[in-house]
Parts: sequence; structure tokens; C-alpha cells
Amino acid sequence: MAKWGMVIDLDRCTGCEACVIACHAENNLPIVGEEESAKGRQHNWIRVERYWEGEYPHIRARFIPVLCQQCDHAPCEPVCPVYATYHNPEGLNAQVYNRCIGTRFCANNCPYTVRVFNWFDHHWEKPLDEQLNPDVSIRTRGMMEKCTFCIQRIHRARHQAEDEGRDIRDGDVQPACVQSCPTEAMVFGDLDDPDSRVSQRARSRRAFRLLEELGTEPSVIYLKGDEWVEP
Amino acid sequence: MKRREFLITTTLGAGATVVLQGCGHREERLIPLLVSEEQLVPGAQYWTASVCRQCPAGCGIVVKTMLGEATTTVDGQTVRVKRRQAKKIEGNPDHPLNRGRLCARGQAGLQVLYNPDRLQGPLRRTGPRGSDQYVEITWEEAIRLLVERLQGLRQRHQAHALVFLTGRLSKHTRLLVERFMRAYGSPNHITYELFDDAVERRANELTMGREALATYDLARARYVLSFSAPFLETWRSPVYYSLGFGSMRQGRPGVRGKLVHVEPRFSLTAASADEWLPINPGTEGTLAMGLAGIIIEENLFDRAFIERHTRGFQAFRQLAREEYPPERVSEITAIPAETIVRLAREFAQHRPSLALGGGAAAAHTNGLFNLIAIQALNALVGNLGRPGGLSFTPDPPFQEFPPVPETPQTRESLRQPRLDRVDGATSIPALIERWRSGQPYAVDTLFLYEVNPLFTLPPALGVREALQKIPFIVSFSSFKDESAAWADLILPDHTYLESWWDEVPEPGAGQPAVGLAQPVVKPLYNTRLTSDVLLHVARTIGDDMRAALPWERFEDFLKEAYRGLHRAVGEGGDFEHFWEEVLKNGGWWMPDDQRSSLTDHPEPQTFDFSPALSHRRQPTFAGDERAYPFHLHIYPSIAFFDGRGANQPWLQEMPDPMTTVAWGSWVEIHPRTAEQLGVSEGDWVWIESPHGRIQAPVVLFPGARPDTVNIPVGQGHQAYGRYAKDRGANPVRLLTPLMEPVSGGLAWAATRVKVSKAPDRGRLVTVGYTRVHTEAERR
Repeated sequence: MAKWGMVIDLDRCTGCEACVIACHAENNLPIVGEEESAKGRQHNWIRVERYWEGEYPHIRARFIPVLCQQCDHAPCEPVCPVYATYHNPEGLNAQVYNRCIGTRFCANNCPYTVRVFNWFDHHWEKPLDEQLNPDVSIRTRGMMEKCTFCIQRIHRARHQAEDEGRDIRDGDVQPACVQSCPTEAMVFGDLDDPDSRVSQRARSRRAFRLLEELGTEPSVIYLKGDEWVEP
Repeated sequence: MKRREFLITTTLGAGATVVLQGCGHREERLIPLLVSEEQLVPGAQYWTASVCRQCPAGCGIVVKTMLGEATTTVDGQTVRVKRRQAKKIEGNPDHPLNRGRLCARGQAGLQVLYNPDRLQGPLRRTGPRGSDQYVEITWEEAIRLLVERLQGLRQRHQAHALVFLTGRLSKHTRLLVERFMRAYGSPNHITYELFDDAVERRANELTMGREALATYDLARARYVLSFSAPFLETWRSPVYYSLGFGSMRQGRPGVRGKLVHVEPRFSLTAASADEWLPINPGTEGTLAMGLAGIIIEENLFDRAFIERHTRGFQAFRQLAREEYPPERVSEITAIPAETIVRLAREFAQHRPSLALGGGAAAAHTNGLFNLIAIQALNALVGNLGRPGGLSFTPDPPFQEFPPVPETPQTRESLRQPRLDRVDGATSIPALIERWRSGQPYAVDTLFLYEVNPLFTLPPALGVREALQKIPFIVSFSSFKDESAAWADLILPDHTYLESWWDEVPEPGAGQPAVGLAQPVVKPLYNTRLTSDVLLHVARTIGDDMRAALPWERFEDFLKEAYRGLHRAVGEGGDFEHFWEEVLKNGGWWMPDDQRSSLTDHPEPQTFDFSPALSHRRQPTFAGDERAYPFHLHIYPSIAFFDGRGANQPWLQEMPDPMTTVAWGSWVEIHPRTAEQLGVSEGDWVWIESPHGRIQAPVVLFPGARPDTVNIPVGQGHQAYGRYAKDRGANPVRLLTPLMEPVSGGLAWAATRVKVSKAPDRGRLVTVGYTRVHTEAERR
């Protein structure tokens, strides 16, 4: 049994948003339009936050891609009255769409604000709907949704490995965001396997987790930006 | 056998079992032409290799296709059909340029294919120009109209009056267009891109004898000094350079490279740099000369390389020492003198160190000098043709097609002067002026392909008036963009995922490579590949054109080109097998084992310093400084590039990384400047140049120079479909058409503007994320 996790190296991340569009394409995220965007109702399972530091001309900007942290002690889980959000055996913080009744307690309790509520049914202008990924269900009005670590890709990789009579190898599973990342800032894999790329990177001296002090035990590990030191 | 497979097998018959075997979940690379849609297994994923066309970089892609249901119209009836559908685009992991990676625009390519505003068949204009009144016609009629027009021109000995204006076309498409024009008898195949590369090509030609774009090996560099080239966003090959950047930063144990970015605006690339220097616009070359002066003065240059591989060093040394002392450079560039001295030492002492320049540095009246001075820095540290340095990617060894001979029909007209040339240099302003004046000869027919001059050319040139003078305009656009909406005949091209084409990436990744695109899905509509239309027209016009262009379809032309490649790379074996491999892999590139020897020891370059002296000049700006107190810094949007991405809703809704703005335009103003102007975030302002004005909402931008306003290019379409039309403003409308005189590049960074309050015109949509992360991420 794997323990899925992700490492995001902020010294590589340029904030280019490739992960955001890759996620839209993979996970059937709707386009909400200008009106709803203005109300802060964009559907993003991953977003790139930008922080300014300092003053002109010594200004700096820092980017941090934020997605569901797939917490081991997830604040969203115990508040769901219908068990729509639960912890799967591989450490994923999963959302069962057809159980969800839309109380939004989970989103309220998430310190990372990564859950997205469907205020409406969504519409794809034809033929844009031909692009929709049949591996991912379309969510309807009243449902909460969130990043799944591209669970459909985990399933595909497992089935392929089964067909070939072997275990899943490191690198077999790449969520859409990780797959696209132009600077290879993101790595995904099994945190229980000490030799996996994700475990290797997670041992960096630069590693930290978002809001670690809350005790949520996220499965996403960030590596902070590095400094250049004159050799 | 699983139950599902059994059912499918029985319905499809025995013939299908070959495909099905072991196909339960296996993902495979597939050549769509070899497997028909009936043979696809529902739920199975098939990947087809192709090439991205969202910008000119030429990244390799693989496209996931699956069998799916769609509604379509057959004989006026809406029916549901099963067909192969494209579901996801990813980088091609084998392609040497992007190695599996892709940018946001590349990811959004499916919304070009499935865009609801695609043109679905040929159109002929019925109302006045610009009235948007068209009727649908058949392809037979379209081709007949085209052939009649072109035959008539030829009979009147006016073949040169056909002008083919294109963007930067892909490899063999460009070759075909050139052959077509030569066989027809017109010298006027003219290329225009707003964010073009003429200045860099010229700089490299003058200094290194290579009229080509340089490849910068960021991955192995220890120190990178970039001058206004947004190479992590839109410049040249952003995915290749992003990969290189990632490796430079954290790809080598114990070595972390440093990036210093010099640019008037704090761009996304600046944000990723270890240090940003907001330089005075147009003075990048001056800074480079100042750095060179210190490197020479302190004897930090690569003496052995200078002696062996360069010319004109003594005069350059004298110029740098006498004319560019740090204090004077500091006055001109606004970079502190001690910073200049420190940078020069860091750059020279942490080799391999790279200097790369482009973007706004090239887009000034002195852009050529800027780039020459920047390239001189690479020569000073001997970083030409070395790992971690600058090199030129060799082309794959395609064999040339026999040249198209002059014929009695074409001899006269081919010798007519090209309309875009002034003393041998390209000049787009001269081209437009000649369209308007009809001198030295009037243009009769204009073809527009992968170009949108009514959006990307400054209107101050009089583009609309010039187009009005041209009797017949044909657009090959897949969408009704501004220029297509002006055309008399629209012959919509397939989109790139439905097409045959190929691209040799330039600048490439250091090894010879070509990406080949094949139709990933069947064409959705009654569109035609423009290359096929040209071949059809050519053989209909006459026997001489048929002789020059004997191919039935563009695919045949491509295949012949790859026969030549097959012979040249000497892999032996059967061509059909080679061709199948090329289709499956998405192109051909030098195998890995041969590559390492090539890129580790590329050919050394020789460098000539003397053009830095002969092309030295100061930038000039359009607009009086008192009347127009601000520099206008326009830049290609990371979402829309030069505007071509604005019809894709994913990209419209994507928050701009620096400002978080979605679905609109904005103008970036320094907070102090905004205070002086009495405007705040979201207020609307007029931005006015000597040539026009636009309005946009203000974003208070701490990375703007106080004397400069920044506006992204891409929005402000007046056509181009529901997502793009009537949204935001196009800053190209403000430009004064100043040029870099030697290369003919448009100096799009040389216009000055004034800013004043405007009435409120709606809102600024920003995605204000909740600030939940405080201390944890800063550690």
C-alpha cells in the first residue's frame, strides 16, 4: 500500500500556471466566466499564490502553488455529517460526490481553502464538451469538490501494473500538474518508499509544510526558496 | 478474457481482436491513420504524438484520444455519432526540447480544436468590407474563385501583385509557401510577427556569422545575466528554458546557479531571479558595455579565447574603457555603479556564465546595439560553444528539393522589387505605405495566413486604409479574427491537431531535431489544410506550377522530405518503417548516445567585436517627454502571447500570475505614481500616445518603474469569437511605428504615453486569494 505524497520545490517554481491549466483539462473543471470570477467563485483545485516582499526597487515576489494538502489529520473529514469526505487507505483525502449534500462544513474547516463548491450546474459550449475526460465525473450543483491527486491516474497505473504482473514503479503515477510542470518543481510518489524521488526530495533541509503548527500533517511538502551564496 | 472485452470483440468481429489484445488498460502510442475509429476500445486511452502550435517554439506533444460521443449535423439533421476525441495534451517525454513538459498555453490547445467559434467552411463576402456579411460556399467554388483570380493576374503579367503575408510558418509549410510563390511568379512572401526575432538574427549574424537564434544552455550555467528577455514566460522557447532554469537552480548537487534579471518591468522572469535591476528602457546595451569595461579593466576575461576565436577586440576594449566607465553607465542606466562593478566580477568569476538578451532590449531603435553588446559579454568569458554557454543548434539533415526554375511566365514578375525591402532591409512600414500608395506597383491579391495584421500592427501605419486599397483579400484563418473579418474570401484551415505539418525548433535544444504533427483526430468541420489548398490551386493554374508542386497532398510532400532525411541519417532499413517510427515518436532527433558527444563539444564560435562600434547608438523615443511623461512597456501576455490565445476560455479565466487579473486588461502603475495621478486599484485611466488612446483599469504594481506603465498584449480584440471579442484593450494601438533601422524590427518599446483619469467602465476582476499562510512558508 502506497502513501501518496508530493514535493513542490519553490526554488524551481516560477509561478507559470501550467499546473493550473493542466488540472482544468484533466479534471473537467468548469469555466465560470467573468461575473462569477469576480465573486471569487473560480474553480481551481490548484492555484498559484503570489506574495510581494520588500519595496521597489528591492521588490521580490514569491509564488506558492496551493492544492489540497491531503492531510493525515484532515480538519475537513470529521465535520462531514454524511461521510462524503473520508480518508482512503493510501492517505488520500477523498470526496464521494454522490454522498455530498452540500453543507460546506468541510470547506469552512479547511485551513488551506482548497475546497470548491458548485453553486451552479455548469455548461460547456459545444463542442468544448468533447474534451471532457470520461475518467472523471462531472460535478453538479450543490456538491463540494477538490483535488484528488488525480486518483483516476493512480487507478490507471495500478491496473496497468496488474496487467503486467508487477508493482507500481516510482514515476508511474503523475498527477496532471506534476506531469506538466516546466521546471520539474513538482514530484509525486510514495512517501513510504524511502528510495522514491518524492522521499528523497522530502528529506531536503529546505523542507516545510504549510501551517504545520496546526497538526494537520499534510502530504504535500514544500521546499523553501534557496539563496545564492558566493562559492 | 474479461466480460467487457468479450462483448466488444463480438460486436466488432474477429478483425478487431488484434487491437484489443492486452488492451484492457494499457496506454499505447498510436498512429491514428493506421487504426480506424471502429477499432478503438471504449474507455481505452490512445496517445498520438504531435507538435504544439500555440507559439513558435515547437514543443513536442502527445495527445490522449478516446472514443467518445458527439452530436453533429448530417444533412441538416442533428445526430449522435461515436468518434475519436482529443482529451488531454501533454509534453512528449521523448522530444529533446521540452522533455514531456508543457506550459499553460500548450495545455489549452484542446480549446483551439474544440473552440465553439471555429469557422466551419469556406465563406465569400457579400456586404461591404467589415460588415461581416458572408455566405457559405463550397470548396469547389472557393478554389475556382482563387484560380480565376490568380490566372487573370498572370495573364496580365501581374503575378508579382500577389502578396502572401504570413506569420512565422513551420518548417515544410514555409517551404511549400515559398515554392508556391516562386512557381507562381511573385517575390512577395512576407513574414510578420509582432514579437519577432529579426534583431537577434541580425546581431548574431554580425557578430558570429550565424543568422540564427542562439540556444542558451541554462541547465549547466552557474551564473545567468538576462537582459529584458522574459525567457520563463513567452520568450523564444519558454518550456525549454524553464527546464534549464529548474536544473540550474536545483538540478546539481552542491551547485545552485544565480539568475540576475535586468528589465524595466518586474516580470515573472524577474520574480524568479535572485536579483532584479529595473533598468532605464533601452539602455541594456550600455549596461553590457559597462560590465565589459570592468571585466576588461580587471583582467577577468578569457584571454585564450579572445586571442584564438575573436576579432576586433582592441578597438572594443578601448571603446568600453573610454566611453563606459561605471559612473557614466550608472547615470544612463539608473543602476548603481557599485552594483555594476559587483555584477561584472560575479559574472566573470562564476563560469560558465551566460548573458542573454531579447524582449524589450531588442525592441528599441538601438535594439541591435543592445543585443550585440550583450553577446559580447558571452565572448569575453569565452562562453561560446561550451557546455553552459551559447551555441547554435544544427538543423536535421533534410535534403533540399530541386529549386523551382524560372519560366517564361515568371521571369519578369520574379524580378520585380519585393514590397517590404528598402535597401535590402525589411521594412513593414514601407510595405504598408506601398500598399497604400500603389507604388512601385499596386497589390491586387493578398493572402493572409497565420497572421492578423489588423490586431498586431500599429494602426498608426495606416493598415486599414492600406488593406482598403487591395482589391482582393483571402484569409486562411481558422477563426474570424480582425483581419479575416476584413477578407473577401475566407478559406478556413484545419486547426493544428487536425493537420499535417512539422517544425524544426529554433532555437532548439542543442541537438538536431524535428517534430512531426499528424492529424490526431479527424477534422471536425468542412475545413481544409491550407497547404493542400495551395497544392490544389497550383495544379489547377497550369502545367508549369504543377511541375514545381507535383504533390497531390501536403502529406506526400512531407513524406518525400522525410525520405531525404532517411537517406541522410543513414539508418538503413526500410523507409516505411522509418516513417512509422517518426509518426509514432512525433518526429526525428539525433539519438541520445550521439547527442552527448555533440553537445559537450559543439563547434567553437568565432566572435567579431567590431559591430559594437559600428552600430552604437542611443535609443530614441516617440512622444515629447513633457507631454507624454511615461514610458510604455508592452509585453506578450503569458496567457495569450500576441493575442492568439485570447479565444480560449481556460486562458481567459487563468489568473495572471503577477497581478491575478482574469478576463480582462489592466495597466500596471507604480503605487507612488498612482497616488500622484490620484488613482487607485481598479480605477479606469486613459493611456494616450501621440497615435491613439485606450482605457484600462489600474493595477497598483510594486514592480513598475515610477516613470513607466506596463500593459500586457493579447486582449482588446474586436473579433475572434465570443471569449475574446470586446474584452479589454490592445496596447499595440498606441505604438508609434519606430523601427530598428538595420534589421527592420519594430521598436515596440519606444513609445511614450500620458495617463489620465477615465470614467468607470466596469470592474477589474482579480482573484484575491485568502492569505492563509503566514509564517510557515517564509521560513
